[in-house]
Amino acid sequence: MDLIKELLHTTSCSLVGMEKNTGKTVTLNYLLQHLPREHRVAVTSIGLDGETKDQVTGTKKPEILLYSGTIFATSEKHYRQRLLRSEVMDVSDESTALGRLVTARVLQEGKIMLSGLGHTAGLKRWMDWVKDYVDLIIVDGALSRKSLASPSITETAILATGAACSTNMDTLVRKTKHVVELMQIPLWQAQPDGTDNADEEIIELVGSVTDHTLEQTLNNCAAKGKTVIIQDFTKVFADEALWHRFTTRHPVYVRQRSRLLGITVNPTAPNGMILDSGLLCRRLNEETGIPAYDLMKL
Amino acid sequence: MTKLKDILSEPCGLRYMVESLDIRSGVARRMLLDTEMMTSCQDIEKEYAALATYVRAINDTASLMAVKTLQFRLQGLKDIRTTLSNLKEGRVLDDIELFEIKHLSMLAGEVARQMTQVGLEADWQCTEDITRILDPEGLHIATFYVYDAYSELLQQLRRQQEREKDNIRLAEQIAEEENRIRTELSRNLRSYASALREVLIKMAQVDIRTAKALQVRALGLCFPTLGNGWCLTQMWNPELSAILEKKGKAVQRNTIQLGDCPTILTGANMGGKTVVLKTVALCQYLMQMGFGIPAEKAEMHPFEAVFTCIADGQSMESGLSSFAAEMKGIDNILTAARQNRNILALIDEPARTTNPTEGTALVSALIAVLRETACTTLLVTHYCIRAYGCPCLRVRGLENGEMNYELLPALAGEVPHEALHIAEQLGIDNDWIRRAKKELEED
Repeated sequence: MDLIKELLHTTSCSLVGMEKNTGKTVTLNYLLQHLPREHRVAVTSIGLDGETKDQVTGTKKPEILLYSGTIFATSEKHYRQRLLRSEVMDVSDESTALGRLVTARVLQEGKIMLSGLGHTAGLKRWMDWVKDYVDLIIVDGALSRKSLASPSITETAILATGAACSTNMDTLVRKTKHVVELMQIPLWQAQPDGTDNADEEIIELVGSVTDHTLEQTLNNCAAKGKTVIIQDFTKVFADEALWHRFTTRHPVYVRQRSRLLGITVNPTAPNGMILDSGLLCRRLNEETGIPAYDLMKL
Repeated sequence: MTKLKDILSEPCGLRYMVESLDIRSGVARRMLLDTEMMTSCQDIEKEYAALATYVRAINDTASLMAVKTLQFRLQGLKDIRTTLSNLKEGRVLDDIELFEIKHLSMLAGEVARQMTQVGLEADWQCTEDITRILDPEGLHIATFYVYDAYSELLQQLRRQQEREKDNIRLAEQIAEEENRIRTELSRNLRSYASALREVLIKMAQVDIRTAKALQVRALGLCFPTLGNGWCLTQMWNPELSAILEKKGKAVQRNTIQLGDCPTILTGANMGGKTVVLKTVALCQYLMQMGFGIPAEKAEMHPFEAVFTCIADGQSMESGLSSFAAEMKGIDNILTAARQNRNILALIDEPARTTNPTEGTALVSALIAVLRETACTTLLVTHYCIRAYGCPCLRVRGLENGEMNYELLPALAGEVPHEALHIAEQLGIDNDWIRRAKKELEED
C-alpha cells in the first residue's frame, strides 16, 4: 500500500488525530502490522494513549499491539502494566505525567499502553537518542492539539479523521480540509546561520494563535501586510473563517512542519452512525489532493 | 551549615562559576549544590589534593579526547538512590529497578576503565559480582529482563507460550516464575545496596572534580595555599572578565591583603570598589567549596562564616528601609564578631543612605569596634573617616579621561574628589554640575 511505501522512505512520522475516536490507534496498529518485520521501528506517544477504554467518551478502544524487535517508550506506570515481554534499554530522567520514561525492546509480541513525554524538547532528545537503533520513529500524537509537545518535529505526518468529528459529510470534509491546509502552511526559510533575514519585516506569533491574536494583528496598522511566522500548525486554534481572512491579508509561515503523507478515516461515530467511507475518501482526496484511506477496508 | 545552594544567589559571581562547570549528570549537579561549605583546613586540603590529581591528569593527557569520553560515560549516571533504598529494605525489585542496578554496576566498570585512560584511579570496589548476577547470559549489554537463563522452567513455559499465545493460565505461570526469580535476585543483591550507593556518590564526585579541573584549566585558576595570612595576588572576577571580553576589554587584576585590622577601601565612583569586594567574597566561597581560585596566587584560610553586605537590602516585605536593612545586616556581623567567631565581613558603603555627618561617625565607629574583634573585614566607603591605624587602599581613579581600576595604598582619610568629574564624563545635565562646582568653591 502507498502509505506503507511512503513510510519506508521517512525516518520519523507522527499520527495526528482530528478528534478522539478518529481511529488513530487503528492507524498505528495498521502501520505496525504492515511494515516489513525487518524495518526497525520505535514508537512513543505524546500524552496518554492505548487506553483499553477511552478516558473521555468511555467507548472501547483497540490496544496497541507491538511486534518482536520494536522499540517503545512509555511511562513507568504503563511499563509495569505491559502485556508483552520486553527488555529495558533505558530509564530516562525525563519524566512523564505517569512517572519516568522507560524505553524497551519487545522480545515477544503483546499489548501495551503508550504514554510519553508531554513536551517537545524531551521528545526531541528521545528521538535523537533512539534514531541510532531504528529505521523509523512513529510518534502517536494523542490528542495532539491539546498536548504541550508538538508532533511537528517529525519528518512526516498522517492525519486521522472520522465521523467522530462530524457525522455530516460536508462539515467533516470542510473541517478536515482546514486542518490539512494548516498542516501545509509553508515552512519559513531562515538564513543558513539560523537567523531571520533582517531586511524583511516579520511578525512572530509566539505560542497559541487564537481569534484574539489574529484580530489584534489584523487591527494593528503597523502590522499591515507583514509576513507572519508561527511555531507550527498545532498552535492555531482560531476560527476557520477568521483564519482564511487573515491569510488573505498576511503571508503566513511556520517554523516547523511535517510533510503530510496521507489521511486515514474512521467512518464510524461514537454514537454508532456510519458514513459511506468510499465516498468520504474520494471527497477528501478531491478537496485536499492528499490520498485518503479507510484502513478497515484495505 | 551553609550549603552551596544557599549562597548561589550572593551577588558575587558564584552562580557564574557553578553554571560554567561542565557537569554531566543531574545527580552530580544536585550533589554539588548540596555541598556544605568546608571550614576545616584539613577537609579543604584533602579536597584540593584530590582535585590536583585531576588537574595533573588532564594536563598530562595527550589528548583531551579521553577526558571527553570519561565525561560522556558519566553522562549516563542516574540518581537511583530510591531504588537502592528499596533494595536495602528488602523489597522485591521490578524489572525497571533491576535494570537501574545493572546499568549502574556496568557503568561503574566503564567509568573506572576510562579513568585509567586519563591516568586516574577509581576508588571503588569492582562491581563485577553484581553485573554477573544481572547478566546471566554474559551478553555485556546494559539492558534487562528476566532472562531465560535464570530458570529452566521459565524457559520451557516461554517456549510453550510461543505456541499457545492465548493461554491465560500459562501467562500466569510465567508471571509467577518471573516473580520468584525477581525475589531471589533482590535477595542476592541486597548485601550490595550500601556499596552501590557509595559507588554512585563516588562517580558523581568524579563528575564534579573533572568539571572543576577542566574549569581550572580553561580559566587559568590557581589552588590556594592554606596558612595564617590572607592575600590574593592578581585576583580577578571571571564573570566580569567574560562580560568585558565580549566588549573587547580586559579585566583589571588586583592584589589585596586582609589582616587582623579592618581594611578600608576608598576610590572614585565607578572605580570598581564593589567588584573588589565581590571578588574577595567569591574567592573565599570558592576556596571553602574546593574550586580553583581566580588569582595568580592565593594565600588563604577558611572562615566559620562569610558575611556580605553588598546589595541594597531594602525589603518591602519586612517593611525595612534600605538604611534599616543595612543596619540590621551590620548588627548581625557585630553580634558574630563579639562572640569571637572567626568570620569574614565584607561591607559595601555602610551608612551611605544617611546624612554624611552621622554616616561618617557611624563608619569610623564601626572600624573602631571591628578592629577590637577577631573579625576579618574589608570595608568600602566614600566618607572621610578615621582609620584607627587600619590599612587603607584606594582605586587609582581617572587618568586622562580613562578609569584605572588598580588598587594603591592610601593615606587614612584620603578620599577622592572625582564625583563631579565622572558625572561630567557621563554627560549629566551641565547646568547642575556647573552649579555644584560653584557650591564647592563657595564652601
